[in-house]
Amino acid sequence: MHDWLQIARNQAEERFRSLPFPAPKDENYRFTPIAYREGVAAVSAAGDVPPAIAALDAEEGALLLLDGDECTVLGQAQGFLFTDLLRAATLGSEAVRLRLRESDLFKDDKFAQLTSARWKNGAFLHVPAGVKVTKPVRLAACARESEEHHRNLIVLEEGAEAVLIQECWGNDDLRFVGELTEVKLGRNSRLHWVVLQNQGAATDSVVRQRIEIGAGAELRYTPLHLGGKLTQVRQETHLAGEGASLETQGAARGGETQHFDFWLDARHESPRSQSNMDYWFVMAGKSRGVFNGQIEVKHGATDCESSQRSKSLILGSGVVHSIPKLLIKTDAVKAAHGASVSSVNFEQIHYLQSRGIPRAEAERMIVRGFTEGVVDRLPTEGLRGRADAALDRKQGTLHA
Amino acid sequence: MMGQIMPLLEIRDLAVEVEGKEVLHGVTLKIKPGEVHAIMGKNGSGKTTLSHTIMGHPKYKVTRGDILLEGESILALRPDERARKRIFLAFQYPVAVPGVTVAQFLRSAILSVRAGEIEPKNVRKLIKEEMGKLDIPDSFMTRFLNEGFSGGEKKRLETLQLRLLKPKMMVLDETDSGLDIDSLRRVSESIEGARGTDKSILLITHYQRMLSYVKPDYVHVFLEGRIAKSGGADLALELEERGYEWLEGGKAAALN
Repeated sequence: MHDWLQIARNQAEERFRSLPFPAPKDENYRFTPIAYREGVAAVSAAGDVPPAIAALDAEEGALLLLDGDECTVLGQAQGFLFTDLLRAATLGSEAVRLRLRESDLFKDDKFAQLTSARWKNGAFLHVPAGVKVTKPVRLAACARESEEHHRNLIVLEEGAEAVLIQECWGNDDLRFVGELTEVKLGRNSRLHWVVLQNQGAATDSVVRQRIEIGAGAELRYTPLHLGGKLTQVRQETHLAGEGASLETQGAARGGETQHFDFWLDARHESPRSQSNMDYWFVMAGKSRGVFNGQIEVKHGATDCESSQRSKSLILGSGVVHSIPKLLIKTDAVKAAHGASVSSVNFEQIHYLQSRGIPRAEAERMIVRGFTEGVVDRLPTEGLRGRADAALDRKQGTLHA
Repeated sequence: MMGQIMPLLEIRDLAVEVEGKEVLHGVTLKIKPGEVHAIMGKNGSGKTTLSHTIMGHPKYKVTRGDILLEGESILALRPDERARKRIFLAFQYPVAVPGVTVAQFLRSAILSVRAGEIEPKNVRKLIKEEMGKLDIPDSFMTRFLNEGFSGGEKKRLETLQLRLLKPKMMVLDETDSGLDIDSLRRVSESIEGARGTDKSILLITHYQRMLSYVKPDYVHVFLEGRIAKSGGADLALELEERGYEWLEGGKAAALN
């Protein structure tokens, strides 16, 4: 282990230990109690990653497979870098080292510090200025250990373009997964970042993302959350440059006692920046969703447009909590929050049936309709197929 | 000779209960192929109950009588099976279905009802053509079904479905309500266009105005869950002039 990295890890470990666990009255954890216990039994799961996840798809340019300790790169990254972050940090550029040494990333966040201290590997995507990556690249993060941490660094320089797929998978063993991802988009760059989260049924995952979008740069973000027992994604987006843009269409499909918490913080720091975040929740059984969204428009960030909306479909006794916050410190901005909740009612099913659509298909259409827009945005056939299959399995437990 | 033609839809002494209360008390009606029958009546007289019962809404329980399509009872059929037998109900209040786009819905409906008749790859073109005829903008396709639609938009979408699903037996439940004069004309023309010698219409309305576009062969007046009076197209005009009280009065007099 390199000294500088060990020092950075030790510092993070110290901060993790000195920070208290979030109190139940802390608004950002009010509905999401994260039960992290030190030293959960360190059982290694068998390597049973589904072949489709572990193989490079013809539509993809490159695949970075993280399977426990192992890291494999398949395909060719031509003109850009897509590799294991640990390798990049130890062998590669000073810039990466500097990034990882910096300790300002979620300094007050106990779980971010935990991941900072204990991450084993992760992805480093670096697209140099002007390079347009034609085929999507995929990071397949497959959890094996009972506690795993990944750290990712995504850097697109000026005018660069890429599509990054992040697929998270795990089996049903008891597990805690931490992720810390940093995204930096240079001027006029464009990234479509797709997440398909299909963790195992007993996995708690705590994800921390810090995003910085430069002038004229665009981030399309498409997260689809299907798996896991408890998932909390804290996303802090800095719309740093003039005309920076974030456009999110995300969805979560819950069943049984699954819990999804999206803690979103869009910070408009420059004029004419835009952020539009739409999340769709389908919560069956006793599952729970949390949409904790904050829009902040800083002084001088005039003519910004920002919206955060959640639409929820409740089946069984599912629940969605919506917590909107607006912090507007300048004039001439457009900022909007919206939340709607509905349930599948019999009249809807009857209406579709009266048009010849059989009942089971009508139910499927109504429920699937909520996630369809997000599935449509998945960039490869293979990924859409895996999302569809996972959604179909959930459909079987529609009211569970 | 006319008497020997089998009715397309026959309703025999139909009694219907809603939440334990009898709402229809024995309705009998025969609709032959190509005929247009209008049902008029005040709110609460049982018109909508009849339309939902024909479509098989489970809330409406048939306690007596039968409904036959081309001589066969449809009472045991589910709503989707009735639709595939080409019965179509244009709803008075179509529900909103957030998450399902108009395009997905129409596609599924067409492929269910007209299975084997239309190839999946031609569905989109077919929808576009009919939308054009009804002056429905393309933006409808990506909107969620009936969500945020105005009354007129909902009725136009119902009419579009009627055109696309090619029903034999059309039941129109106050399709004229919420339409301005121009929309009414367009919708009515569209319905007229869907008529045919083998297709029939049961048109439920409060007002005479739609009947000036879609000319009925027979008019029936509902009163308290029964057909109080039947007649030709002139009956609608007479009702417009004299009001429903005329018939209620008649009934009161008869009872006295």
